Amino acid sequence: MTREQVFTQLEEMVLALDQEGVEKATQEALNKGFQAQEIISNGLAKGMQAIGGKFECGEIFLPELMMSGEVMKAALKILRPHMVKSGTTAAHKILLATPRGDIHDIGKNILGGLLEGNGFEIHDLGIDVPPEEIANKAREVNAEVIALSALVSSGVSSMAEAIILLKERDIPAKVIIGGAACSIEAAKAVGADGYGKDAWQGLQTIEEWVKGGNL
Amino acid sequence: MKHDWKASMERVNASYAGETPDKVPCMLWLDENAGSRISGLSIREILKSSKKLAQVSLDVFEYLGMDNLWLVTGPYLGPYEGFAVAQANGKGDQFVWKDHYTPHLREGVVCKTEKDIENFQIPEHTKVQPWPTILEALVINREKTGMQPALNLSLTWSNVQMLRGSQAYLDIRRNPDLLLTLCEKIYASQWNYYEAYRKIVGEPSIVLNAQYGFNAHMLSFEDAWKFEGQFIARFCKKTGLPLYIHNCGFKPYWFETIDRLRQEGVVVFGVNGSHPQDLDFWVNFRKKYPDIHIMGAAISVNSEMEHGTPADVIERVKQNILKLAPLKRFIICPLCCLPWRVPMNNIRAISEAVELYGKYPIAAAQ
Repeated sequence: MTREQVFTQLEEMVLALDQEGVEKATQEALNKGFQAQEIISNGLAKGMQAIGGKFECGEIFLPELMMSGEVMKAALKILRPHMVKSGTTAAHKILLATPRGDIHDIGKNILGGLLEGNGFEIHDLGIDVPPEEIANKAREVNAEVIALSALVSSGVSSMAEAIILLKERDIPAKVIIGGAACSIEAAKAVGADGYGKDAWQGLQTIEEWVKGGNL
Repeated sequence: MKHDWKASMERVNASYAGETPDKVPCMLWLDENAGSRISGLSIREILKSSKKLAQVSLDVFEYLGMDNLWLVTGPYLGPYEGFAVAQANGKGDQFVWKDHYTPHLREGVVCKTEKDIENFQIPEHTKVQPWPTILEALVINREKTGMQPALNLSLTWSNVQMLRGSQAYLDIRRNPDLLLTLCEKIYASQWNYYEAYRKIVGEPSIVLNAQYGFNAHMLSFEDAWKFEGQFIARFCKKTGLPLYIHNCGFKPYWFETIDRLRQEGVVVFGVNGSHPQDLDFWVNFRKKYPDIHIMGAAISVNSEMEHGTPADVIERVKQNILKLAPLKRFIICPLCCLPWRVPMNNIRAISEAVELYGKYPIAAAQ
């Protein structure tokens, strides 16, 4: 199998949501001497991009998007020890929370799964989280991004409080918001840096921040 | 001035029948947030008795000058169905009460495991609170005003999400049979609610169902039908009740859903939605389905209602009225439940806009 074929196979297996196949192909690629980072960027990540493209144009839906996160997590589990060896483990740190006043966590969980599957380090504070706890944890783990999700409007009010507190404490993390109670207008109103209309767009925005050196 | 419920009823009935009312009827989805905000009472105080719940609801809808009279416990089954199920399954402590916000069940806790689903106990809605309070409050307000309540169901996806959480999305691919088992249990629980409604309130004439699964940003149409649509179709065929569809999602499968339900023999009476925000979509909808009532249409509570000015709201309502009211069978109604953060002046702007632009004949009112 040529180098291109190895990566194409990985890409296609991610796209097919074939977790066992991805695990096997990832291990085989490592056995053939490929570096963990190139397995990710030349194979797995391309599969995820294809998944995202299909999600955006309505060819696949949330169940498949969530499954892709699971498949990627399984592959990363195999790759992580090799990344440690090669010193490429510096994952970007994301703090997730459903803010105070809201106890819904489906949107947050979907985004968390996707982010984790794409190599981010996740710190999930759970639901109904007070602004103080968000700010304290952001400081403790040096979060680079804080992703807040709200289904009900009380959560949006808490987002605004959390963002004010982060600014007061000079915590430099970028804040992205999403969930049914949010909108672009809401993001502007509460002073967030970004808005994700769905989990995929949330991931894309955060990845753009990474690529643009904005974290 | 005292609210004229008889006039409201005639206005709404004329709109339902495709006749010309005196002006465009105006409705709001109000939940506990609005009830608490306007009455100054906590949610649990409002729910203390059916008399209190009925009075607060009446006061709130009259204060806002609406043509509908629902209860401020939310017009759909959501949180309290979750509460009933949680209590029946020994997890009532997972329901989180708030003083002035809508209470909710922690997602994914009641049906966390396969065993939870297998052993799922159906709540008895004539007994488990707050359902007797809610159903008796409907009766009180009907007797006071003559306004007929609707039977509101949530078959099935919002209940699935509430009970199973984000795991439900993985179940669709990994364990669809388990998910269908849960859907069947939800159906059985909703049927129990329907029987409680008949016993306490009487025979309903229509069912309003919240259909959140039918959104293209969530599920494929086939999966939405499998895990949601088939259940409401079954319910409507069994009861013979016409269906009013509520869908406040961002990308509803309106055409596919209606066509499939009709193929199945369901009478689709109306739709209640705010997306797409493109008003021309709704004009085309009216052309395609001249006999289906629209309660909406393109007014989202999370955009101009929450973040705009009263002038923005008036302009948006005006555009809705000018495009859709002349085509009949139309009620102006922003969706979904009004968030706490919506300024009171923006809420009032809706009925102001109807007074300015919504009197028939519409052209003469411009």
